[in-house]
Amino acid sequence: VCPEPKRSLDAPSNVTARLGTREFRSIYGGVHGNRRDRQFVYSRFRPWRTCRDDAGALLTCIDFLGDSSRLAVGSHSGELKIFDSNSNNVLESCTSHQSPLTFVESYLSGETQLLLSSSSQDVRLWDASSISGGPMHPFEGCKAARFSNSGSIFAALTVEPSPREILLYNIQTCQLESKLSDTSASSTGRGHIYSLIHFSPSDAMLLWNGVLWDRRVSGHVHRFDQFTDYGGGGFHPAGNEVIINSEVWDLRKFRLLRSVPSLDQTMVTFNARGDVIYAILRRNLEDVMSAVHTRRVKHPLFAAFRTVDAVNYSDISTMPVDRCVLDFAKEPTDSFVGLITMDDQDEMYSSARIYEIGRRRPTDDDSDPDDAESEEDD
Amino acid sequence: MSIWNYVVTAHKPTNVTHSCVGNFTSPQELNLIIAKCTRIEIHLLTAQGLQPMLDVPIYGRIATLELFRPHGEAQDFLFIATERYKFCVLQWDSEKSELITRAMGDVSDRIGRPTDNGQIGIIDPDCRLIGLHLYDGLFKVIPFDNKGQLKEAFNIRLEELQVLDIKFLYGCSKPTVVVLYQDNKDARHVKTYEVALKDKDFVEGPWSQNNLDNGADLLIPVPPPLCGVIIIGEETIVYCSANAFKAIPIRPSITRAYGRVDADGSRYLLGDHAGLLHLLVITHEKEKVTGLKIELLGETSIASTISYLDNAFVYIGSSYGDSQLVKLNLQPDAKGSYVEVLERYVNLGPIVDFCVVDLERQGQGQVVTCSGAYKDGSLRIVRNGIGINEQASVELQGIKGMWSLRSSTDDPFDTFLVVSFISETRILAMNLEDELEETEIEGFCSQVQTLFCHDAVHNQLVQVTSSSVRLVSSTSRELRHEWNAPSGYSINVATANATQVLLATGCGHLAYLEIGDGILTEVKHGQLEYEISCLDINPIGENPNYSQLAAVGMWTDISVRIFSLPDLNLITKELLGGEIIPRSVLLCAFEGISYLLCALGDGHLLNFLLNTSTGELTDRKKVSLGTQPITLRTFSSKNTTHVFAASDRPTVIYSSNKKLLYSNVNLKEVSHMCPFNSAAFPDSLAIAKEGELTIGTIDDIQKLHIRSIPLGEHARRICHQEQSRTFAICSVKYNQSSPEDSEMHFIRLLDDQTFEFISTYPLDTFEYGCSILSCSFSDDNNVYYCVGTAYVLPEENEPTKGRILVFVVEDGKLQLIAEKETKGSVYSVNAFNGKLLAAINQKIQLYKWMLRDDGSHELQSECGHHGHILALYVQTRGDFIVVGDLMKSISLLIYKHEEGAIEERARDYNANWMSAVEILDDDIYLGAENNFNLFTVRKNSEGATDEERGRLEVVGEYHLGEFVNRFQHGSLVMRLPDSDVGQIPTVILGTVNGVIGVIASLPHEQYLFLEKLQSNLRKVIKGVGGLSHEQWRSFNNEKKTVDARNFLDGDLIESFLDLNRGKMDDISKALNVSVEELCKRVEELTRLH
Repeated sequence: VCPEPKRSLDAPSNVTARLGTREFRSIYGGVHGNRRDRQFVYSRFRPWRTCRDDAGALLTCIDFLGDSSRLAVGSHSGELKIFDSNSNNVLESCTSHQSPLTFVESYLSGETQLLLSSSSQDVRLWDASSISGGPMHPFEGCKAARFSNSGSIFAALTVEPSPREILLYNIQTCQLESKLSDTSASSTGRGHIYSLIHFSPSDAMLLWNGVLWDRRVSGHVHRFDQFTDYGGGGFHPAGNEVIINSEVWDLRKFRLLRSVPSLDQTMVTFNARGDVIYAILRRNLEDVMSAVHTRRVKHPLFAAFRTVDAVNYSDISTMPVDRCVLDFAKEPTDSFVGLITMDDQDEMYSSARIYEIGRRRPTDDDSDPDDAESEEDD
Repeated sequence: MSIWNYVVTAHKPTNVTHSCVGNFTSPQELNLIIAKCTRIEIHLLTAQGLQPMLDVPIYGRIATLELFRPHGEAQDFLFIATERYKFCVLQWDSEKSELITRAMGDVSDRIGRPTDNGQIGIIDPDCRLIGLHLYDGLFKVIPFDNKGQLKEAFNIRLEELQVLDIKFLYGCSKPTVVVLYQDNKDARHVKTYEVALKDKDFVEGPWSQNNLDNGADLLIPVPPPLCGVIIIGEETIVYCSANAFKAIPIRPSITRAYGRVDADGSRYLLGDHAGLLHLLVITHEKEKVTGLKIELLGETSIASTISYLDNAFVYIGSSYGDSQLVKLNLQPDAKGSYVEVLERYVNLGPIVDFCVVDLERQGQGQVVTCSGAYKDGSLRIVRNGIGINEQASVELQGIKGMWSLRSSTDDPFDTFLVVSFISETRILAMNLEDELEETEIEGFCSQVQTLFCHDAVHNQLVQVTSSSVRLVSSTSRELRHEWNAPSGYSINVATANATQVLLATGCGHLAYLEIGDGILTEVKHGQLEYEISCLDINPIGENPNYSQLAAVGMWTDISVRIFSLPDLNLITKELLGGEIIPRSVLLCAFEGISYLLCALGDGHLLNFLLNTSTGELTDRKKVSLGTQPITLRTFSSKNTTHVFAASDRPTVIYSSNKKLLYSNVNLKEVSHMCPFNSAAFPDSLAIAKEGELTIGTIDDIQKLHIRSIPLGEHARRICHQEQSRTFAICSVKYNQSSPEDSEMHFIRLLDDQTFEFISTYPLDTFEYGCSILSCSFSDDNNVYYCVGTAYVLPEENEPTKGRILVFVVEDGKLQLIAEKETKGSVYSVNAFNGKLLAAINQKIQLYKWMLRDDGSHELQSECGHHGHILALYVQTRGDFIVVGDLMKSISLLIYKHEEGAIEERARDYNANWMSAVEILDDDIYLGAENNFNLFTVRKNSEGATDEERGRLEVVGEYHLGEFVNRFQHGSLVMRLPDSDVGQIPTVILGTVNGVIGVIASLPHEQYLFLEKLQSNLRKVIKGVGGLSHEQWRSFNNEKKTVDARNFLDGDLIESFLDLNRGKMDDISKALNVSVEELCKRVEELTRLH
């Protein structure tokens, strides 16, 4: 029998003790202190704001505009809305798409807050400071547009099912820059429905539907083995790993590093620091009705989101939000997360909710009862 | 506005993080090289001990320090890597005695996850490559070519993600690393890899060993002939190689440091977390390892690094206590220890908390730190300036001058102290009971004021009064000769040495006398055009009794003149400019350099380099010492000559590294001083101040004085209470001897003079003292100590219970007056509007102090505010509350009296993991965070929208390179209200590395000027190893790196004063400001700390 190690150099698990050792030992208060701080912070979320559209539209997708003060939200009716999260009011809205919005993404380019919105048929590029006047540029025949990390280009998928290609557009000129095509014929299954395009942290590579491209070479570089579908995942911001569904792959030798069951069937988002993964249950973006399919409803992540340590892939926590989650967004200061939740499945009514990171729900908060108590005492 | 800040180090880092031994400065010299996080020191081993050779800053936090010897070299090179991924290779230039950079570079990867367990840097023993583990899953290799030059680096994928240690193995034909790692199931293993340089990849190595001690943390590679590796665990030590495996059990301990004793690698010193030093011996028969033996040698400071020097001398570098030079004796002492501590090197780190107090009530701050950790915990009293330790004092009003005299020329001690008053002169002497008693020197005239006195050759004494010069026998005390002033003239000023007298009578007359055996001879007489204000003939030439130069200060043309002696020829005339006359001149020599010091009537001091053969004055510098006229006197301490400048701001002028330094003396106003080296009070000074004559000894001449109060336990919080003249601390005592590490927390009361524990309040099991405060409440005149605690249960990730304890000091005892339970950890307590403001977990809570019917008091919750992840650091100003959060930077709250509520006013939305906050002024708040940065944010009261007003705008950013635990307003130096520097508000900071820093908020104009100076200095002063100052000071965290702004590096700016004249001139030209003016402005800044 191995003796239990004392691990005295490990950071204490109690945060007060950890802060105490941080004062004299090392920045994180000992080995794994960083991880324990992360687990402490990312296991707590508190509802902060709820933004609804009075018109009762079914909101489908969300992103923060730079920071937490404004939200870009797309609706099933094809409308793009900007919410002020302090007042919960709609600041601006514009209907430019012909079909339901599936995806929105924002990018701060210098002083300009850019916004890409996608439906299943078209893509619009906006200046988020004024959307009422319509998009800066419309892009027809493509969908599921994603900004590259540098913000100089964006990638979108062709609408036509075949040949399925990735189109790379220059943001400045709004011109098509290049195309990446999946030349292998063996593209099977319905995985592509769930798959988004991912840029590697350096923008040198792209991943879509299990296929890896290097923009500097023609043709794809690698096709990862398919375990389930090719959905979810993305490039790990720390560089050397790719996540596809629940599998973590080595990006250099294309070796399977590990399987993370809690990421199965999820769509993942990394926090700004790149050390925490947020996971929500994946859905068919082009068919919002399928989100409340009975098979999905039974899934533990149907009405919750999950945080996973992005360093060692251990679970941090699963946060119930009591409603079907449609989309998820993070913001750069790691203070808030945004969700689209289906408030009423029958009425098909949804809202955009902002949760504060690191704070517990007021009902869980231990010092509140104390106030009540002592104020009564008064 | 306190936006423009100047950051300067008052006390350099003393936490020793690395050390190594080798032949660095010459093939024959053995050197100890020490890293103190951001500095390196090079020492030479001599028969007398360690001799410092160089102490330089490194523009980075040192992650790796290694000596190595490339093929074909006769001496070692030094490899340094910094935490921000820079590296350099340094070589010693013995001709210039400076470091040369052999190579440098950047080893950062744009993408990669920094290792959790710290960076590892290692050098192949056969010098084929340098290995670096900086990011999880990557091993970076910098190969050497066959000429010993570094080639381009490349990365190798490392399978093991949780690496604990990596070392190169000795004696392998291909470079081979051994990796200690932890797997996903938390088991620990070692594995070896060969580095295939051609393929840029690892090849599976010769052996591996699975399932080691779960506490295995350290690898020691063993040199030939044995080779292999030692794996140090918490309960076992294992020797492992391709063909041997030996293990021994050890008493449970955590080994942090090792030092190899023998070149053949058969013996090692191991230092553990309890400060115990062990000797580990590999027993072997020829090259076959037969076993391991371990023996306890004794106790040292808790070692972070151990370097075996030579001949049983060992350097123990410590992060938690003083570093030590120890000797390992062959025989144990009475306590069974083989360790003899020869020297201790002060370490203030880690400074966990501190307070600024004025214990001597002199208007000068002292910093009392909670320093050290575990058993090496201590309090340190840090004081700027030089202290006078009073031995005796008498009340004497109206002293006009003082001189000490010997009773015979060859007496080593002074006997008499001549004290002059406006209309009399009194002679004091030591009596047989070692008391100062009035006596007489018959030959002296005691009914008048004495202008000057001195010992003279041939057992004589000289007294100068306004009418005459009297030569008196020191043995018979009778007058031997007298020189009278010409009739109609009286002597105004005079000076003398053992053989010469120089005096001025009215109308610019100057008389020069020489002293013979029983005779005074007027050798020369001269007349100058104006009145003479001061004179000096202090001998600085080869003859200690005779000066060939005389310095004369003048009225009217405001000049200082140098005359040759004995002919009284004018050789130099230097106009001082301005309207303030010189009041005291002094010829002096420090470290072989001659100076003329000239003190003005307004407290300024000019100094010149003096060419003793030509009398030429150069390199004029001006500093402000005080506001009143200064009198200059030399004295010696520890066989070195210094100058005492008596004024309203007494100062000692001394020289270090051939540079004049000014250090405050911790006395208020000194009118006169003279050395008084009597048998009873050797090496003392006589000081006239405020109606009092004091005899005292003087501290060592250095800027900061540190007194240590070892506690044997770890002080975590400290606070001073003026009214009870006590300190209260929260401390923790670790019981490291029992098998279960246990700790006990206490509140202790200490006397603020003796620093003895006078009362103790033990906290409950698992209860931590988290915060402490001395305060009073509305409608209650008592002063209390308030302590915030937390019950830290190991099974909880956050405390759910804590207490606020209110104590009063009664008869030197801590009396618990009130107690309030809280629902979490009380991280901070502040006095706020006559109430108590506490930060409890995520909440800010305000308590009022209520009188109960029975006359006792209780804390009653009034209102609170949620809005934090953890509210850790709180400062208040008026109704404003500034909170530093665990992760969410700084926020500003306001207390609304009418509503009785606390509301959030604004916050900084950046994710900064805070370690300290302070309020600089109404609008500017200062923060420190855990990536070693400082930043300032500004309240935006004029914002157009709520949203703008609700944001704290980041206005300043700076990389300090230090983890700050505490800010406090205050100053280490006495502030002169009417000097420019006295107007500058300052904040003191304390860090884990033992740094005491000062942040000074400058006027904008001065800031802009210094910013220009800083950018010019960057061009002239190159960082060691070619590291860039601009990059070093850039704000840096996981997400961004941006240039420093609105903070200046005072350490760089003040190094202007160390530049040679040529470089000063270059900068002076670039700035279009004279060197003298630049020096003056920079020297003024040095007086901030």
